[in-house]
Amino acid sequence: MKGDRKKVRLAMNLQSAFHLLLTIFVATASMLAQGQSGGSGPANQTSPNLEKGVPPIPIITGGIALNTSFDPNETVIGPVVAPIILVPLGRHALIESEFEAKSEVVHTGGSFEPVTLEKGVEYAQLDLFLGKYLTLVAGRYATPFAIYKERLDARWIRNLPAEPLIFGVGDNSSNGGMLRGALPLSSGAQLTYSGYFSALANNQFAGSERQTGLRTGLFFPGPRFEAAFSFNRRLGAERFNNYGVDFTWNARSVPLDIRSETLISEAAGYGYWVEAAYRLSSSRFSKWLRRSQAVVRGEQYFGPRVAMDTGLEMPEGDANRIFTGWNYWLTDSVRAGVAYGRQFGAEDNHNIWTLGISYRFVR
Amino acid sequence: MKASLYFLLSVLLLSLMWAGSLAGAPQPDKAPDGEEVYKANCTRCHNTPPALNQRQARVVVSHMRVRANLTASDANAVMHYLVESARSN
Repeated sequence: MKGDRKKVRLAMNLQSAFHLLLTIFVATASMLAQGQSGGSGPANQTSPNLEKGVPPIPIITGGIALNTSFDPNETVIGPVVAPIILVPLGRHALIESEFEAKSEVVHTGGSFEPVTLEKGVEYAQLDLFLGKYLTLVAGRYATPFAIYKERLDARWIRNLPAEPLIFGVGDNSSNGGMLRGALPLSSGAQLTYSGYFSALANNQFAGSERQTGLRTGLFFPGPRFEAAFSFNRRLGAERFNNYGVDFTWNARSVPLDIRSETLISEAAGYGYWVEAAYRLSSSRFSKWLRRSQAVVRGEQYFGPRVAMDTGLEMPEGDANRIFTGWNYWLTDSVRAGVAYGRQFGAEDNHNIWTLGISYRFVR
Repeated sequence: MKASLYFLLSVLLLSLMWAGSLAGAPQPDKAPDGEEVYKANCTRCHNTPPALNQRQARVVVSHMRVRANLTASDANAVMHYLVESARSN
């Protein structure tokens, strides 16, 4: 009992601290944005080669992907269509929306299962650019917990078709408001931040949980390194905190990208993944190989010590997994890939083969 | 959990200190180089820059400014770089 009270106090103290931090970030960013919005500087310089007064136009972009996975028990064919529409409102506002439809054709036990079709709005948001360093987002948006959901989830971007084991915590969209942006601390460092609140919505295609949180980090453009901390507090029937840390490093001297996320959550479990991707772009490789990329990812997940009905799609038990993959760009917009993975778990131990192709379009 | 959180924060702090030591000395204000900004930010997720005209570039870069948390200066530099890159190709 005493231990429970201590845990509750710690959670409340951490929650208060992060809300205070969020308030400070927002206030600081607002003051900086107001102070800089009318000033001169690089943002107001225009290239003499660009036509002045050329208005932006609405754009349809997005991607189509088809992934097939094989393991000893079943074969899954999964097409995904994800169009994105971007509608500028002058130069200081943007409406953006992504809709995703994905299907699964599952063959198991010698027969096909009924085909499933999932549809949903990933985000439908209004972005207001309030100065150089602050953006107000209103509507439905990808919840900024760590990096996978916001930056790597798109099928034409992710290096491996399978999502990380810990993605269940971050795999959701929020309906509410968010303040985000980046503040230059010096010529060599930037502070990035996102603070948000989401309301409960029970819509079939645009549902969301009641939650709040923030993600803040430091980005160093010189070494191309970013490290960030994420905090998320679920405010539904079950209230719990999630903490995350993510790293991204794009090496300068070699075409090597390293990314990592870590999750700490008493309710959802603990885990991490580390991924390295090497693009064979050096001239010492053949012209064919230079369009290739080798990827490896290792990950672990440990279930929560105390079971809780979080509503999150997490692995059923402890699991370790390693993937290796090979991607090849047929054109700049079309990418094919093959990946082999092995999952080691107390109750789930199997190989995973995946073939996929994705197409990114811009109109 | 408290020990795990403190350990993680320590690793984060050490990583930031290491990266900060590589950041270099402050330099006089100057316009950001679009290609450098593109390589530092956009190649974290993307490969070759798409061929966009100026009108398309304005919108796409605005979208990416939100997603990648770019400052207005960096977004402007990337937009100019994409347009000039498309013209030269």
